[in-house]
Amino acid sequence: MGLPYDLNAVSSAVSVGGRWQLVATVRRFLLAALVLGQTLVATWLMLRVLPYHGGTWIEIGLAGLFAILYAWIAVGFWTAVYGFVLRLAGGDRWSLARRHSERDLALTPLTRTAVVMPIYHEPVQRTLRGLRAIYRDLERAGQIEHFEFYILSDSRDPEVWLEEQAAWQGLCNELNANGRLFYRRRTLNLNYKSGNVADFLRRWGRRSRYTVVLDADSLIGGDTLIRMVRLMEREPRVGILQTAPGVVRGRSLFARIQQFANRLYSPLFATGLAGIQMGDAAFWGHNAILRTDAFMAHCGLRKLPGAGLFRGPILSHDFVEAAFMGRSGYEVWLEPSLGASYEESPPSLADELSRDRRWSKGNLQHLWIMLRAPGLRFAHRMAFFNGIMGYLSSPLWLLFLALTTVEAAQLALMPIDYFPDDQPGLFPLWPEWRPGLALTLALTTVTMLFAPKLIAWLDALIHRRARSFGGVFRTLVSVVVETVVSVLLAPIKMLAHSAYVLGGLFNLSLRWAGQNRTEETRWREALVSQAPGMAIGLAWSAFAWYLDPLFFLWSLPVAVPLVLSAPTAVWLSRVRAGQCLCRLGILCTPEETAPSRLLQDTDDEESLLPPLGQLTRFEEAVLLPAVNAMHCSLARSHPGRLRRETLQTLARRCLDRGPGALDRAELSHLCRDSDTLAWLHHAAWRSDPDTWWGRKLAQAVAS
Amino acid sequence: MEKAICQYALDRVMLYLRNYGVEPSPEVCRRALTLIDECLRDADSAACDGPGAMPGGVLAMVFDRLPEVFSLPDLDLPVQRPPIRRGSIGYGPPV
Repeated sequence: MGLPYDLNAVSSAVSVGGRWQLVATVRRFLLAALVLGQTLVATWLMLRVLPYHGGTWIEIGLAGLFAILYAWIAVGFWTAVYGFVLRLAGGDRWSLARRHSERDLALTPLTRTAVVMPIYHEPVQRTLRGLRAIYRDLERAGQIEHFEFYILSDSRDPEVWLEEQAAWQGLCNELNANGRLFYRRRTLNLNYKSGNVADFLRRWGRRSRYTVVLDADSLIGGDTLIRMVRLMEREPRVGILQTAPGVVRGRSLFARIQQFANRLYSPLFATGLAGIQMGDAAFWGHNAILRTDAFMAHCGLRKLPGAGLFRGPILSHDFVEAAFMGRSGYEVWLEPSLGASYEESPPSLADELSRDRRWSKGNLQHLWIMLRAPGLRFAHRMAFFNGIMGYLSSPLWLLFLALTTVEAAQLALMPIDYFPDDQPGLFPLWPEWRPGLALTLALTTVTMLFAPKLIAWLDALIHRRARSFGGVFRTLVSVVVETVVSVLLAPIKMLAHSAYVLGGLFNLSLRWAGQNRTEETRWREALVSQAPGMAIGLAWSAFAWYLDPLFFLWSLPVAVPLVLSAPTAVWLSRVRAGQCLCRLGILCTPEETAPSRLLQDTDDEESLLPPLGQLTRFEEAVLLPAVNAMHCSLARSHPGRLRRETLQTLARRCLDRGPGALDRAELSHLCRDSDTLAWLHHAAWRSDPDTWWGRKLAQAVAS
Repeated sequence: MEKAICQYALDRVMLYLRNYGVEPSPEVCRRALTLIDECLRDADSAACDGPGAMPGGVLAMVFDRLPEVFSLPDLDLPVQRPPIRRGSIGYGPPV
């Protein structure tokens, strides 16, 4: 495959780039040494804390689980420390962005780039307003002529996709984007989002050298897009360049907490992660630019051939695509210094858990690829492992708690066993309790968990970012609020993720749907969904009290959040609570205190579509001439005799009794046929006043 | 009070024209009234039966003749898709 850029012009960058592997190896070895060394010490301390010092199978299990979970926490901690140090040094000098001067980048010519937004039952107006903001930002940057936009819909409900099409038409007119903003809807949804993107690539992949992939809630500034294209032009070895999107536009308390955490802590974690992964980074599926020909040539996703979960289409495609890109010899970079890249948080705990349900199954599926795909780089196998552990750590933690309870129950209810599990020799094993050491170990673990938050606060002070978070003091208060909420959420997520992992392993079916991005959680919904967690929390703490008051105290950090899970879920989803803290200057983010023009554009509530009045999107599609003509132009003509007869029957029924006489599939069928849609338009306007469409037109006249 | 058929027809014609961006000027109103007047005179109670058959009546006649009376502007439809340049997806070794 030919590389698109003159290699002489980028030879110095390539030679710098060629040495990154050595730096990455050193950094990764150091990370491994720190994590393993620390974990060994902590596990040894854990064995000291356990009454029989690992002399029973339960204690061996406890120590083993502790080691895994501790190592997992340590990886996060040291990643943040790496990020802190790199940022303190003024950024990672090995990163892509640091290899080229602003002047060189500015002189790099742009080339045609496709910006694709796959959507599936998303809030249409909100989603396309985001796309409009990106388009306008590129226009302001003066480089719109190098970009093409594609809305790639997988929506099934005709009311939704008719609205998408009408909004697309409105957007084309408003932005004067005819011929630059395109719309395609697949009628056959194969292989989820990755199938949608692959469908696009098969049709238009050879039109553009680069493809920017967005999510429905993605926002990227025009200057960032231009910079991404230029970096790709200058770095021909790079197959995927991933930005680190910041979370914005949160309104509920939950979303504002997530976005505060993201905006304050993410620079550390993303810089650290990028510094460790370097050219073996992951692809997160959106807010990234792909080298189109390389992606097409190497990143096709076969169906998994195994059994159960490991059979069928790959659910979470992005990590796999990054690994395949790496396998083909291209590099994948995460570049946190690329600003103005944003996404949104789910508005409530329920929505985040719903998303996690899909992601957990997708990540577990990676186990097959991690173990069996040939030729993958070790770093990408580790990225799979990291993703799997993101969810597997929850059942491991749950198992750890269960074994702790069994251990406590044995000690409280059964006589002391001086010769546990065939203790060899004549000497008994005396159980020992070391509450001081236990407390030390617990505090060490807690420090590992929460220290990155304080380091991030310190980072904000050092780099003078605290003002954009509401000031030094308010930032600290926000960190405390976020920490308290994360403590409340951790056991709830642990329980939910454990259930998802079990469900995933048993390959229980799940519904793949668009996210709710706006609604609050109702009490009834929260009580029903959180009832198992509340019951487990109550039962466990009561049992702990029955066993030993001290064990009861140890159980509280997990039990109390579980018992409070329903009010937590409801309270966090409240927009009013989020806005109240916003007014107090708590949980503020730079984008809230000084929003960019790009973000201001997304607040432009000017509708993309004329107000509906009393018409549904289907009625609009039938009645309004411009909308009907547009839908007809997107639909196909189906000439087969049988199909024509069926469509005519449906159209006649729709004309006589209105769209309510057709089910969703029939409406969809009807709207996909241009001849029938045109016929309905003409017939509806000709209808007598006392018919269904006649009355509808009378209403339209009145409104 | 129940509207007369001519009122329905005028409302509907004006709504239709507005959707095409035609301003309801006095001239446009006069032509619409003339069209409706002619259709009322010529109307018969055309039957409307069978799949694929259009509704009959005055309103149907009005909308049949409307393009002869008003030159409706072409609707500006956006280009749905660029010319296709097909490519293929490469799959690595089986996993």
